[in-house]
Amino acid sequence: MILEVKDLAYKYPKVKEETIKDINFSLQKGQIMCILGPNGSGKTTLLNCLANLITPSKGMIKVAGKSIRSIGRREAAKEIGYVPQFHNAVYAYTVREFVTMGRTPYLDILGTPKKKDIEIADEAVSKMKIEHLAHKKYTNLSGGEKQQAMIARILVQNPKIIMLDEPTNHLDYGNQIRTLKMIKELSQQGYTIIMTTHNPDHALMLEDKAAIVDYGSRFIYGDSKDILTQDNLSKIYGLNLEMIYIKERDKKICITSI
Amino acid sequence: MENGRIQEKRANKIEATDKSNMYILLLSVAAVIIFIFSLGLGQFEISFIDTIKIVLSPFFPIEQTWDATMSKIVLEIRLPRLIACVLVGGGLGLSGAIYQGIFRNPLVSQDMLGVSNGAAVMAALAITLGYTDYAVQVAAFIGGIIAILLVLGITALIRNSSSLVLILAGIIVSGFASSLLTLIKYLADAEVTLANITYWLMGSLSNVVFPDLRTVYLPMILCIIVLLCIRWYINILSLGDNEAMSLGVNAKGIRMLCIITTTILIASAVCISGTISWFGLVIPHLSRLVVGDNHTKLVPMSFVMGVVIMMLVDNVARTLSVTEIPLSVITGIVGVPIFTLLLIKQRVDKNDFRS
Amino acid sequence: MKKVFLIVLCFLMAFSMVACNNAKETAGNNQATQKQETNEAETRIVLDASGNEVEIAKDVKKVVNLWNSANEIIVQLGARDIMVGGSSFLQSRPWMTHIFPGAKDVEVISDGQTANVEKILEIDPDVIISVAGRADALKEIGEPVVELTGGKSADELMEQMSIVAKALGSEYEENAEAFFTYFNKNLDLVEKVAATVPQEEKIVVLHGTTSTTTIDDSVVGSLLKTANVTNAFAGSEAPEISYEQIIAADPDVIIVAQGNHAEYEKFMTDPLYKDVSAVKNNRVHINPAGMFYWDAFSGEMSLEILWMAKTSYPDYFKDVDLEEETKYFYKTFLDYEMTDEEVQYLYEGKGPNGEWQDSGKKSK
Repeated sequence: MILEVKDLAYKYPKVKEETIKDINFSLQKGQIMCILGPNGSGKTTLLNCLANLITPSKGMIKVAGKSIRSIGRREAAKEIGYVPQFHNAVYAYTVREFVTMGRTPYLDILGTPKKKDIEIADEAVSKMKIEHLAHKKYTNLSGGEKQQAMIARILVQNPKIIMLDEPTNHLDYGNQIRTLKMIKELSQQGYTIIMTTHNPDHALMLEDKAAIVDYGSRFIYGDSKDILTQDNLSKIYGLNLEMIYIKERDKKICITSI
Repeated sequence: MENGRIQEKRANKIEATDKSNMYILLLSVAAVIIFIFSLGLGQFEISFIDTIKIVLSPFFPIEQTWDATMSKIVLEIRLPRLIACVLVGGGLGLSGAIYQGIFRNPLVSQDMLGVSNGAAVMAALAITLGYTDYAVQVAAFIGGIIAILLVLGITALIRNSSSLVLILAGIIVSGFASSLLTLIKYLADAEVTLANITYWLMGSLSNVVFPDLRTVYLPMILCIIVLLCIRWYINILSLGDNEAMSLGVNAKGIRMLCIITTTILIASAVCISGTISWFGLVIPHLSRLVVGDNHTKLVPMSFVMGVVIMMLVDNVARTLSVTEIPLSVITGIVGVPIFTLLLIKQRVDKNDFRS
Repeated sequence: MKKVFLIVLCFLMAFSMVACNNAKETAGNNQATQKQETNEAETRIVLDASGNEVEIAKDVKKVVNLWNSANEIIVQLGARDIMVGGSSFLQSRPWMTHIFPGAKDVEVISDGQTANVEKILEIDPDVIISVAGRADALKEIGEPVVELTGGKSADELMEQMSIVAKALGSEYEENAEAFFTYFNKNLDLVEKVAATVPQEEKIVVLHGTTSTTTIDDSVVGSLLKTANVTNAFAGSEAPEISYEQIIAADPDVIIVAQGNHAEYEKFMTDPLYKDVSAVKNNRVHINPAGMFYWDAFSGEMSLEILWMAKTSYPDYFKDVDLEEETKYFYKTFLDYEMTDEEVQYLYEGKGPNGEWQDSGKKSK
């Protein structure tokens, strides 16, 4: 098990009840887990806990057998990578500089990137096939290009688990699909992926594990085909959803009418 | 063929990085040259050769070809003054770059956020109450810390730490400190103390002698070293707290460290020279024009640029006329148009006002 | 690259630290050698107003002044020939350059606030007169700085003058003594006669402008007391006043401070003030301003007290011939023969050629 989560709960200081609770699941290496749920249900809170950005009020998270809380922030950064939904670029770093920042957990305490670190960054840049962008300013990139640079940075960070917060939200349709493709490739290369999404079709396309976080701290987890059912999805979105099996494609899709 | 082109691109990439380092080195050398040259500059005519001899005389035995007054001027008037330029100019430039990084906002600086004024209020209070030396420095530091805590407190209360709110909070705190200063001036003895405070607030390195530096130079040097060492983390912090934490960096801790060290720097600078406006804002921007946004280069460049420009400004202030021009006058008259041009050039709409 | 930068930085830091330490030693050495040098020539110790013991050469050949309020004092004590550096007012006051034409040739080395240290060192004076807080750098490097601290009464003014005289040398002390005798004579005369003014005839005087007043705790404040007039703002701690306060105080006499002609016009022509007693009875006067402001810090205050008394209680001071006293003062202490016309201009608050002098600049 690369990731084990037991009895996870989080309560915001000013709120009476816990936003999420009784979260239990585990993941193997290379698995993809999609987390779905309505707005405000606690998806992002859950992701933030898993990404070690906030400390859970209860429960435990273990990566490769080690508890996150015990290994410290720097070591945790070598295990878990995080791709935010929005990256507000204030300063115009070049893509190369931006990607090199992924080496931070591996640098000496007062160090700056050395040649070796920059070479690793360059490798990630070619892996993501964005060499032509290496000297462009991050602020000048399109949404899709920014996403690619971000992934390159994660590759440099070389974590075991990658968390993505709604990675397809602000992309055009083509880039959305390309992102899903890339996530699939990353999982095949051995990275474990957790992502939140608003699109059940995307979760269906990725076909691995799924979880639903709903109001009232309801949490269910399992294989996508078991979790992403007509009933479950209709419930969380408050719609009349139908799941239809397309024989020609051997695939299920979501459909609804307005 | 493909490989060849990629290798050529690789070579270009490495060149681009090294160019920034070269600029920093060049400017550092220029700083040393200007320092030595400025020792020979002043209302009192001393030949350049004599200046060099005087400077070397404490270290090497040199036959004395100058008189005691010249030696006094170079070693006890000009030398401490230039050292003050280095500490204050470099310190303010450095602080400005750090501020702009940790607050993710290229439009802030220590005077924008009220820290300089806050330090000045407490220092002025300490002076009028009759304290000297360490007590004044500590008072200035406390004033600066209170100012930045107030700014951060306001943004927390409004639950909005966007650029705009940050700057507004800075204006509020700065304005408040300004009013307190006016109150102190009002209550000060109109004959003597009032004029002293007013002039000191306009920023001046005139009449800085070694005893003035005795208590500040060590904390300032230490703070400068600390800030130069953690320059990589400023890059990380500028990505936003969440991303910084995901990269293993204690964002809040580093930010607090930066705030404390810059406040020590700024408070010490205020004790030496009073408040010098626009400097902490403009120097990092000028540095960006040369080395770009990467703080690994920007931070040391801002330090050296601050040193060089401060020495040049001070040289003008003390040689243009018999009576000295306050530094804020020069930095304001020169700095504001430069800053306006920079804003226009960078087309501010590209950077976030809405981050 | 980074290593080179670090090395340069370390070098600079090491240099500055060594320089700091060395300079302290050099300063110590300088003071020692200076003491040696001056001990060989003859020196004496003078206690200045801040309590510092200043070592000054017995024979003072060059004096430099940094404080605008002290130019007149030095000239009046007879030291105009040895004055080689002065502050800006030395050349900007019309009466100063009129009575002391040599002022134009004296080097201006201070704007009243900051001193040009290098120029002063170039001049190499035997003594530097300054006010506390503005010559710290010169003190640090061992220059003979005699600090004054201002004063709040006629006696304190004379004390400060005697410190200057002592610093300059024994012959100047004699001049000072002579002046003190004259000043005290005037003070005693005014005090005695003014004491005979009955309570119901005592008047209220506003000495100031439309927005400021002289407070009790000042030289002029004490002169007002000597002249037995009530300060319209007695008890005020701060100099700022408002229009309403002036109306409420309703002074019998208004003396416009520091020869400020613009303020005089305001009182006389602005309908706001037309019902104030002083304005109604045409008892608004401009305080004369000579080599320095008569109502700030100057030897000319020996005339100020007479003029103030005569202006307040003209009937009681009929015997005081102001013109004669003025001519006597300028002849005796400043070696200058005033013409009748010039005396007239002086008491109209004007300059030596009948021009209005710069108004409103507070002394620094």
